[in-house]
Amino acid sequence: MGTSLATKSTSNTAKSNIIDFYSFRNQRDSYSTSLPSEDILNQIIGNPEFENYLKEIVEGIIYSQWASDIASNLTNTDDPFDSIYLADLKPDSINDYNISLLNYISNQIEDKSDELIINDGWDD
Amino acid sequence: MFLQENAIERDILRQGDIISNILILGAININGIQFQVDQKGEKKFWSVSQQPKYSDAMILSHSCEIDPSNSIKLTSLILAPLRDINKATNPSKIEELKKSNYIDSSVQASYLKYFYIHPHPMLSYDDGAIVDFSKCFSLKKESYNMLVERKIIQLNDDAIDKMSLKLALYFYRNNKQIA
Repeated sequence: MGTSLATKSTSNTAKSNIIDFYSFRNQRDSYSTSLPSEDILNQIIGNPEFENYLKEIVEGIIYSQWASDIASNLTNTDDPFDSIYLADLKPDSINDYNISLLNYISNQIEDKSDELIINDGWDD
Repeated sequence: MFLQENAIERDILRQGDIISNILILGAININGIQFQVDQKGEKKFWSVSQQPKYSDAMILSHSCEIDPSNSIKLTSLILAPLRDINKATNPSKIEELKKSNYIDSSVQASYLKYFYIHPHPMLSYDDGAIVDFSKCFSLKKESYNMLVERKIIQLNDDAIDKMSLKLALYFYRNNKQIA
């Protein structure tokens, strides 16, 4: 993933180097020159290609930062489950008396838990 | 029900230990989880869009399993939260619930989902609390030391036996039973 992100970032930069300002120069020639610097600025800001150019730069920066954050956090990624060392385990001993008791009691006992509700928001 | 202050094992966890004020992870609404995905649509991070709930909790894991010397078996610690018994919406049932910790072959009915905890100076429940088995959750073994630091109460052997029998009965239903 890190590699592909880096490629994406490089691609953005490369594309920004070949942006075509030809149309911008042609437009400038036909405009009034009373406030040339303001005209130029407006044309640059209003130029769709320049907008895309800026957008790509900003997105590239955000993307690179995100990729950097991911990469730096990889070592902190925690696997929520541990390996099960089956080869090292021994089966638990099973107590016949406990099974008999569970069977005996569970056959005759009624669970009344549903008759009680605790009003602390956890059952909502 | 409780061990005396000077008898509590301060550097080890036992079944029935009460842990003070930890984040309760049980009973999360899984539909409320929000995922952050990368460009490939792979889920990378998740967050829960609800306020974190803190409470006291009881260790349900068997003492043998969570003994530090048993390093192979110790992978997770199972806990369940304590809830204030005075928040029960049906107060007439409370006295019956308090007596329901004791189960033997003569008992015909019980509140199997709950285990009653008597009032204790270290707890903030004036009339006691209940451990809610239906909201149990597990933490990784790396949480062991944090839980030890927050351990405030240890049950005596008799109370542990009663609690574990109720817990087993809560989960156990044989095929002859309808529900």
